[in-house]
Amino acid sequence: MDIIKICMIGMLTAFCVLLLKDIKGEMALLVGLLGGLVIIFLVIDKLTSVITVFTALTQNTGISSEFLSAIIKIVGLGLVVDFSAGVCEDVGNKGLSEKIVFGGKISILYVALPIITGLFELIGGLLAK
Amino acid sequence: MFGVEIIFKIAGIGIIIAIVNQVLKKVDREELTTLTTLAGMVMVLLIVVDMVAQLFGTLRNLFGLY
Repeated sequence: MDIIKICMIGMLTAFCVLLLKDIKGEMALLVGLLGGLVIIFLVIDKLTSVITVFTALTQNTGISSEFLSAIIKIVGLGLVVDFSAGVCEDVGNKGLSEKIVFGGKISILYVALPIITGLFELIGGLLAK
Repeated sequence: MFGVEIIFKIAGIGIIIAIVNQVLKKVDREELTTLTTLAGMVMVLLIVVDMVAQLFGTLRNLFGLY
C-alpha cells in the first residue's frame, strides 16, 4: 500500500512544481525538495527494520561487528550523498552535485579503509604459508 | 505533518506570495514585493530546513554516520 502512496505523492509534487515554475521559480524547487523528503520519511521505518534485522543476523555469525558497521555506514553515506546531490542537480548546478558525490566517494573510501587493510592482511597471511 | 498537506502548504505559500506581489504592483508599491518574497522564502525555508535536519538526524542515528 505504501508504494502507491509514494507514487501518488511523487506525481503530485511533480505537478505542483510545474504549476509553481512560472509563478515563482524558487518556490517550485523547494516544493520538489519537500516531495522527496516526504517520500523518504514514508519509507524510513522500513529502513530501520532492515538495519536491525541485519545487525541481529550478523550477531551470531562470526563476522566482526566492525566490518558490518562500516558497511552500514557506507550505505548511509551513499543515501545522504545521493539525496543532496539530487537536490543540487534539480536546482541546476551540476558541478556542485558532482563535488558532493566526489566528497561522498572519498568519505566512503575512508570508512572502508579498515576492511581493505584486513583483506590485505588476510591475503598476506595466506601467501606467507 | 508528513504527507501531502505539507506539499500543499508550501505550494500555497508560493501562490499567496505571487498574488501579494501582483497586488503590490497594482498599487504602485513595487519596492515592497522584494520584502514579501523574502518573507515567504524565509517561512518556507524554515519548514524545509527543519525537515531536512530531522531526516539527517534520523539517518545519523540509524547508520551511526558521524
